[in-house]
Amino acid sequence: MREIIARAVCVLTVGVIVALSFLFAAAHNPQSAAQPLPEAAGPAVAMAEGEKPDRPTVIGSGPRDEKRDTLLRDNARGRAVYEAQNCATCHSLAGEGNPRRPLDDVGARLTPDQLRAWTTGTGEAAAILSEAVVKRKQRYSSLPAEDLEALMAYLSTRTTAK
Amino acid sequence: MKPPWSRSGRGFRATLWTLGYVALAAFPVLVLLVGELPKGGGYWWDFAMALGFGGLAIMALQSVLTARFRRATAPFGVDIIYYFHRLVAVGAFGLIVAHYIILRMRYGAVLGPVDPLSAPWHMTAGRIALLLFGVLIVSSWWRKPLRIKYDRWRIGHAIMAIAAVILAVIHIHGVGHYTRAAWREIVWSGYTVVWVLVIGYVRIVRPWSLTRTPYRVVAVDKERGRSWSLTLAPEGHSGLSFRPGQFAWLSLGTSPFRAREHPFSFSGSAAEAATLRFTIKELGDFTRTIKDVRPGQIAYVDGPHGVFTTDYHARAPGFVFIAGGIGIAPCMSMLRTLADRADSRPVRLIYGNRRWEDVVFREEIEQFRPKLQLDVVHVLQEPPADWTGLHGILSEPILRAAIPESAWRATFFLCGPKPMIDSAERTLHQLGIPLHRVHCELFDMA
Repeated sequence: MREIIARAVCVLTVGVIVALSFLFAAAHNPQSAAQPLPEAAGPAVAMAEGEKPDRPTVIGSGPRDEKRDTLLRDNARGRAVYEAQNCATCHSLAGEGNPRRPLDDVGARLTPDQLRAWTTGTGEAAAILSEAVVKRKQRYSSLPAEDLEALMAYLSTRTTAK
Repeated sequence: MKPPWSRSGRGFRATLWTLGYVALAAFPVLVLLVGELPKGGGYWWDFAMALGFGGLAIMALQSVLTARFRRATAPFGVDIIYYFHRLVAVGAFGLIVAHYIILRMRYGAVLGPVDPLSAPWHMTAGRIALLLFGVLIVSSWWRKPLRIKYDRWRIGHAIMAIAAVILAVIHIHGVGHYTRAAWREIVWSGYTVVWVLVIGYVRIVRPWSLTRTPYRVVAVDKERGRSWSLTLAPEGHSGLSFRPGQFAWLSLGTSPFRAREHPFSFSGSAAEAATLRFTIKELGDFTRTIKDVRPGQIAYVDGPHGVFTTDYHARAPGFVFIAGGIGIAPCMSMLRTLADRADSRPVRLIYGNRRWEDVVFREEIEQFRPKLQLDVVHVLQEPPADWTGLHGILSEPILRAAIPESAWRATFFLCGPKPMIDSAERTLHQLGIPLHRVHCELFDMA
């Protein structure tokens, strides 16, 4: 008898957590029908942990030019740095990686200086991000200059996943 | 007036504790829903995150379950709490594995490299925690087939559990997003603090309080069937009172701080003053050393625990005890107490053993007859040539033969090997005996 009750309480406990998890996911993603929404973050979503969601981040936009598209294809080094530094643990590009902080169109939202500041945890980013994240990001300052430049170029040419 | 241990009173308290537990386990997921909801990261992403929080909340509560808080465990019996501890650990592990699998399948890039030298430290912490939770489950459910000694398992279990929860908390703090709000940070910090306090209570406060109520071994008596009875007397205090059939964790010749205690049923009468009696069969590493215990040795007793007692069934019209081998120990405590109290209700003992020479307490059981309205049915697996009684294992046909219809209204107590208990429960169910009148002790608490 007691074993049956224990099993029932176990199922109840796990069931309540699963139900609340469904509820939590539904509440956070009202427009989603159990589908990942890489674009859900929208163009104004912060590029880094800790950024306020209502922060006006659309710095500049405009039609992509041929030069940028060429960069997009050729920037293998920047992509290699992005992967080697495990950027996808905290960010996503084209729906791949952490959907909380998408970097699609980040080049259109931030100036090159801002992008560098948010990447290396300096300037305005240092004031907004949590201490732990700033510390983590500041490590990227010690990357070889060519790698950091390649990463900046790579990120600035990312566009929204289609 | 209704006694405090009446079924309805215990049932009410059991319901309250159960709801409290479920609420505590679900609370960290519930708080995610309260307050301002940031934009979602995708349905499956947020679902996976919530599962991870829920799984960790259950894991963090595991130490509370086995802390043996008497007030909380009394309505259930601590044996069933340990059973639940093992069971819900599997559920929690399932939630954590689901958290990982969803991320692996839908957001594989998030997990980054496995190599701890290049992976973010909080991801490595999460991976190690997952691995440790898995090892904890496997080593607990399959300790005996894996031949892990109980004492080693206990120490390893405690160390791994502490490490796993700390690493998992590091993981969620490293990920950060969901705990960034100050009050959510407070919730998780609160859970961590309570968890640390419980460990402190279990490892420091309780052992310290046990050292203030020591016992001394006053007799070591050889019984039949490789069994020994230890009699303990309190030293410098009045001792504890227990209900017949309950059990205690016993530390023999070692400090309670070393966490080398083992659970044993009281076999003596609850009506006896102060002295405690345990009857222990040589079955494992520790119990094989019982014969070496000498009078005068120090002992510490953490108890009483359990609800396997006739005292909680004051209105029962009679009792049937079904015991296999050393499962007689708690039944003996109840028989001795009923005899000391001159209880007039009919009692039936169905007692299975391998051989007649191994029947522990068989002479003393016969002596109960003038004091108790007692019927004894011995069942032997290897009976002597002139045996006229039942023989075989305590299976359905044997039990059907041993339990007359007149006994069907009694309250049943089962104690013995797990297969015997399962078989007896099935048989009693087939006889139409309601489950609430069938009680068994779950002694596999490792």
